[in-house]
Amino acid sequence: MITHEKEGTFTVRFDRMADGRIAGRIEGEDTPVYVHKDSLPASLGETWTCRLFENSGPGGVNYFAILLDRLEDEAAEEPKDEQAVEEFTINEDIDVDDYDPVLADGRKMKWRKIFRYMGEDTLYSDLLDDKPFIAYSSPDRKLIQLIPCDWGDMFCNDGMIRIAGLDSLANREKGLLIPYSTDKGTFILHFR
Amino acid sequence: MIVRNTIPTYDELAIRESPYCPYKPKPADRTLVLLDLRNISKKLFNDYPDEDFDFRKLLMDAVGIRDCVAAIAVDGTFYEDEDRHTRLQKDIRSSGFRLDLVPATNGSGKQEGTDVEITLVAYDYAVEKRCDCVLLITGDGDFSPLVRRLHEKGVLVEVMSFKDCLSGCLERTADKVKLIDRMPLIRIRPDECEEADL
Repeated sequence: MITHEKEGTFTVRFDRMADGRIAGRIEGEDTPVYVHKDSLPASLGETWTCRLFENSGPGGVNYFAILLDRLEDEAAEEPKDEQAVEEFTINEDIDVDDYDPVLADGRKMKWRKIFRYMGEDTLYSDLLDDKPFIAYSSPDRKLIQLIPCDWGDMFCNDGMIRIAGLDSLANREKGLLIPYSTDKGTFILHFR
Repeated sequence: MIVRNTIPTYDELAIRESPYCPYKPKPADRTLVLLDLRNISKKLFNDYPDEDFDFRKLLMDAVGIRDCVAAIAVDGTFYEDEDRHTRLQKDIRSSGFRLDLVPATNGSGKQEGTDVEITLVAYDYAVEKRCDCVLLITGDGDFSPLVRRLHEKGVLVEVMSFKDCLSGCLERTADKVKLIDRMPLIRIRPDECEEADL
């Protein structure tokens, strides 16, 4: 139940998953911030200015955010990623800003280049926590969905996850940046 | 008072290559899912014989946030490769579909009855106002007249199919079309690392 609006606008970086949802926090507070269902959608790694509504329930206090403007902060989004893969040749040919594919249901997805192909069927992203996943590919071999799941059979270590058959999808180019989107707490990777 | 931000709606003006669909899924939508197993299995057996196609995820992704009133898979009872179809039917049952088997209607074992069964079930649900949306998982163009009749009854019709199997007539008639080719439905297993050819 939303009790009242917090006065003013706030800058929130949505950088983690909590209870299967994208979550963030405002500076100086540990209270989790979730995106309100009637708001614009946010993806992991994005920073937005928001209006916040305090919500208190049996699970504690949190905020629901109505997103207003997205702040561009590319440098802050990928520092770990760049550092971790510096030994690999980085393919910067993909300009994902001009490459927002349309899903079958008409939604236009915003892809972000934070997943990287490391060779030998392995993906790296600092968004991947060290926990099990379930992986699915689409019949046309262009999408892979990674679903965090306690009883999953694909394990992530240090942001690396090995996915069978990935070599054929990624055209064996090390350092390939792979656009992704999020859907209900899962990662959907798009291969061309 | 929170006012819904309408900005995302305008995004769709820029997307001209895919058809616009004004019907958005709502949790209150009562959805009937009908799977034409003969239509889908033919494609699966030919193109993805060794893949772990997840019908449970197909059903979950197809229904989404909506209210599923029934998920029915219709299939025949006679096949050239009975073992494979028996396994498929078992998989379908465990994936949450109610399996409706239609016996062969002529001496050669042809299964014309499955389309009739699907049509009757969908029309019954529509006439008795037991569903708001019918989700047909098939690409068979024979269902186009059914889609038009369901529209007359005020029921939305969504079609899911493989691109190769999708009839142009059915595609044009349905309110919304989703291609199974673009849905992540094939389970990747870690022990297939050396053999898998995604």
